Amino acid sequence: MFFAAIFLLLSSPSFAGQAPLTLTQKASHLYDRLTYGARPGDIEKLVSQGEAGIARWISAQLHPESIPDAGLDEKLALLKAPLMSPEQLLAAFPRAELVAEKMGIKKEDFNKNEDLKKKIRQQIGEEHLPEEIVREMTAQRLIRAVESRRQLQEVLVDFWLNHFNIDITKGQERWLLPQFERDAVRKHLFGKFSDLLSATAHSPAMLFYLDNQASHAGGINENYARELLELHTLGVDGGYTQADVTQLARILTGWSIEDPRKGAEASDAFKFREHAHDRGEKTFLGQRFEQGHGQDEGERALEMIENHPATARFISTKLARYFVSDQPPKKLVDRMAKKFTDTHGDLRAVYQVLFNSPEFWSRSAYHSKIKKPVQFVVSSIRALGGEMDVKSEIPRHLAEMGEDLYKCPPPTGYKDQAEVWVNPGALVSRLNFSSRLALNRVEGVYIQLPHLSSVPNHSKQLVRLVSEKLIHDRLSASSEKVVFREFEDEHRVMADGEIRPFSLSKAAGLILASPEFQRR
Amino acid sequence: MSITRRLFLKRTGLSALSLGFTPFFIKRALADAVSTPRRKVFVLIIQRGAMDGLSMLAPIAEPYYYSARSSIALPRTGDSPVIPIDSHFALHPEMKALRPLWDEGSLAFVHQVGSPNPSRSHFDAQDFFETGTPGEKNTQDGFLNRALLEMAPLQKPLRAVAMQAGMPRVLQGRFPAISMDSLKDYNLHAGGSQKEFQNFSDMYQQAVDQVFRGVGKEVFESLKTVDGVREANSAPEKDSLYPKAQIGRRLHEIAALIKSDVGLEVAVTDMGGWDTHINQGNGKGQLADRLRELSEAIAAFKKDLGAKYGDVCLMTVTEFGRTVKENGTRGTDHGHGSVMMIAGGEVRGKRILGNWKTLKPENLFEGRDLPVTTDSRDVLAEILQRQLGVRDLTNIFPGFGVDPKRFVDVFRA
Repeated sequence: MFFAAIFLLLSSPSFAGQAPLTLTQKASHLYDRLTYGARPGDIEKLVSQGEAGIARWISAQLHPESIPDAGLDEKLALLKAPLMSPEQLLAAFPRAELVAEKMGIKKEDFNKNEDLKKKIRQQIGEEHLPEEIVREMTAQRLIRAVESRRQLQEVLVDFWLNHFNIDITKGQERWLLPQFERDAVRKHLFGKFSDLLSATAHSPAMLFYLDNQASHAGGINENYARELLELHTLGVDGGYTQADVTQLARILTGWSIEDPRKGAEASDAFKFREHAHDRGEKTFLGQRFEQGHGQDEGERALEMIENHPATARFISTKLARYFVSDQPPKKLVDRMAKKFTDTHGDLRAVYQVLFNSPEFWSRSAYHSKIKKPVQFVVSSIRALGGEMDVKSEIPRHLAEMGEDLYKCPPPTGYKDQAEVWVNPGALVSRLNFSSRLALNRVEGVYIQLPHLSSVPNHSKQLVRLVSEKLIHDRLSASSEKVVFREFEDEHRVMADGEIRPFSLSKAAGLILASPEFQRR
Repeated sequence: MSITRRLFLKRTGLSALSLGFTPFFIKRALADAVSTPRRKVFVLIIQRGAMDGLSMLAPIAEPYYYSARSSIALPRTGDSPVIPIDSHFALHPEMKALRPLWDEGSLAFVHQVGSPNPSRSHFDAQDFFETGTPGEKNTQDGFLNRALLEMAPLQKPLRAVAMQAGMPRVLQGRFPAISMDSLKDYNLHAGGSQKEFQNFSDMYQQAVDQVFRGVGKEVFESLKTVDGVREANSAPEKDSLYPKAQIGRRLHEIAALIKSDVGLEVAVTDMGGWDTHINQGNGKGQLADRLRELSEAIAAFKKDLGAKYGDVCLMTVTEFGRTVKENGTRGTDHGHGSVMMIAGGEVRGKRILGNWKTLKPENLFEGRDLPVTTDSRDVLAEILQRQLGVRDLTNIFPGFGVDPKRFVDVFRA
């Protein structure tokens, strides 16, 4: 009996002896996990609709096309790069080297001469330099995160872009990545994993990033084959060997790209290079691949790994870590993996298992994740009812906190675990950011301090009201004390009885900087 | 153990450790320095992405090196010829900045060094190196953090610093290490006034949240010290000494910390750009550019440190090496053994350490990679003992069985 109880405690730490979340906490939890944080009024609204409202809300987020988002489209229309094909991007944001070449300047001369480089770049004009693509991509990502009503979609973009990480600063990636995000990742967020995987495997961006485009018979490059197994599907402990990596690399020889620099007209720039393909016999994951095959054997290999039990587990574990806990509950992962396998990788069905699970709704999951920098920054802006401009200094702040968007160099992507994000340097950056934001001093972001219709006389009540408006029931008593002290010290009330905006900013800055707001 | 629980343990362990701490202001720190016995410093540069050791230190006397690498072997003649340093090996031509260190005898290399674990995953291999437990995935803390716990206590806020965005695993753990992207950014602008500073400080040092309470303590005990270092090192002339690359800036700031006597004993930083699967280049090219940046940064660091170089031991290390044969795209794929560089005032330099096995198919690891003939922990163990005074290494490299007989004699007697 005693041992059984202990066992139960150990095996299901999520709900042993814990009170279930209240309705308000449930609403808050949903906004913490399925969105980039609540905007003013969001939680009250959801709570007013009761339990049934919560179920409807999840269902709507799982079908983003059902949520109107017209206001956002208007703003996004100001950004051109995210909608362009690689060819269009290359025309609109030309490589300085090629512009020079057209002017009769040799590549070697161009590369050596810094003044010449500067001159050509000036001639191209700032708004047409390739860096502009990176800026626009980052801007669209942040604007959507802050302002889109299809929040789960944006959260999943973050998850899957990190899973299939590509560093935009590598070579010609900047001309390829907009297409990758739009047509490979965004299109398949709620569909089949096999379609998502296949889209990335046929994408110029991935084939270029992981160097498969030049891999050829007799001269393989293992990079993509290895990461395809280790990072995209089976996971490092998924049971493959070095021989499987090499064999898969042979199977994928010839999976290449049209060089957009050469102005290929094809809109789909994937290219299977017949002559580069190794047509010999191979054995991959214990299965024989007869000689004489072409692109079809690569498709066959993809089918094998997308349906592999290790892939179901690997993807489920990663999703559970992102949405539930740094230590994903094993039973939840089991159920998700089973759903993954039963539905042949229907991602929406897997998300449903996740969001309906007792583990997701357990008290031990509540506020247990540490926000990544992008989650912290965007949730701060949203808490203050903020909006983003197409130009902002947010990317710089994210880089300082260690999460430079689109610029994670290794194919592993950023780790999704607390110890990566909790460290002294990153904390200092977070404190600085909170204060600047609340004072409305972050370039390209516009926030609104909470409107207080009736001002309580008592500072304590006031602090509670502000923190309630901003971050609900989060603030701890000890953090509250500090904010309260700040209020007491200031001449907070003006002659007309209104709260001095500066005081309110100070208090808001402290609330966003609080340890409690670093969690989700 | 759950992460939250682990972080909790980390932080409570930390509070016990730092009970004796008082706030550290720069004046006090400088005053302390006078009475503090001389401490030595270990600087670790992690080359993430797997550096090709055969390009850092090439066995130019071996024909197989050239036949296996028809386009990426380092040329012996021409525009940028290799720099022979003995009858068998040559330095990469773009590492010429380090030639003087070699010649004066304060720079050594360990060839065919690495991990006994065969993993060719960047993720796993970096973790295995940093935790000091190859093959064991459940170790959460880093070997350098564990080493710091074993070292003689010193009441200084900046004994261990990671100069990079984020805390690398090698320094994660119970010992309160500091991480900063730069001295410039480790500055609480928002806490400009004493009151503001106090607000943030109280909020974190009295936090109910144990994870943040711990990190808050680390932050607020070190901020003012770093302010002092930054002010003392604002002179711009030193900038010209270092290359513009990120590694240059980082070593510059580590040097500033060392020279400020704030108690720095362990510094870690990292450098990327080594994963050269395609168009690796030979005497020129992408790998050459990285090696030049690294070498110029280390040479500048040495010059900048002046006499303090005598107290410093710097090591470069990478998670694994690359294939001996070049691949089909003028690059190299993930391999096994690689090269470490060790520089410092007490390093017995001008030597290539380890047991070099001639390049031939039967000597290669799994028939393709540079083998590992020296376990990197044998080199690290010696440095931890001799440089940092860690006597008992049982917990640093659990299950390894440190044996001085296997040491490669990094230091002068």
